[in-house]
Amino acid sequence: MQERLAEFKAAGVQPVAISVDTPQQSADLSRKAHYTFPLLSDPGAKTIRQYGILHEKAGENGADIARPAELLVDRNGTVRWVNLTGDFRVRARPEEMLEQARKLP
Amino acid sequence: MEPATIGVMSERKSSWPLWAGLLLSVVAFASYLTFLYQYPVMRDMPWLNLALFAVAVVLLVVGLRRSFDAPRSTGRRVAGVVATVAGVGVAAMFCLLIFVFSKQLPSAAGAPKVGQQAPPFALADTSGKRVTLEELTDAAPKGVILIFYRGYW
Repeated sequence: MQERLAEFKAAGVQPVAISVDTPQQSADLSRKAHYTFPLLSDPGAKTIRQYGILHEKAGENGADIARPAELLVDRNGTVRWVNLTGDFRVRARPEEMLEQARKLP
Repeated sequence: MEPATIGVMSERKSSWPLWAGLLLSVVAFASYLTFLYQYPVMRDMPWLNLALFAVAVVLLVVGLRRSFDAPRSTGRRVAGVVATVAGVGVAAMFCLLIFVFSKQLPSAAGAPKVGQQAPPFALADTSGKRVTLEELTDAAPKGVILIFYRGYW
């Protein structure tokens, strides 16, 4: 993802990562992995629940976490592409997301 | 050569597949968890790990058969059975993890559909500053891609 960031920028699409991690945990991850795109924190999984992708009690100490998902949202806030995996090991690949990003008007 | 020496030599020769099989099984498992999962091709279908497990199981079976070949002490047979059970167990755990556990996800029927409005949010970034979806979409030339992940807890 980070490696393809320039291509996302060229496509005019900003990647934003969201998890239940605290800002501190996300900051640590960002620093270690040298991420330059935003990582947002949803510790109570409120937004994750609103997005209908809650994976209950799947985290540490039975915490609710997000099931992996990728959503492409245009400037009007309309969802243009959704990828919901059936296997949490299998995520959308950057090239797949880029292909969709380039389709945005 | 003394018969005892021949016995020791043949015993040494015949026990390697067992331990190699067990070691290979552990390596096949560990290599996925430590680095192979980082490669999308391997992560999605870890054929290399599965191939290593296949070789490991063949080695274990060969080793087990050898440990039961007469004349063998009970100790060798027990070692053979234990190593085989452990090696095959590791392979079975891997298959469970890859083919069963990682697919146990709840329904996402409530997720936004294409054409619907993405639910608004205001979430803290890594510096603790609150960021809304609207701010993100306004700032991007064409849009944003929201990537939900499990987190590192």
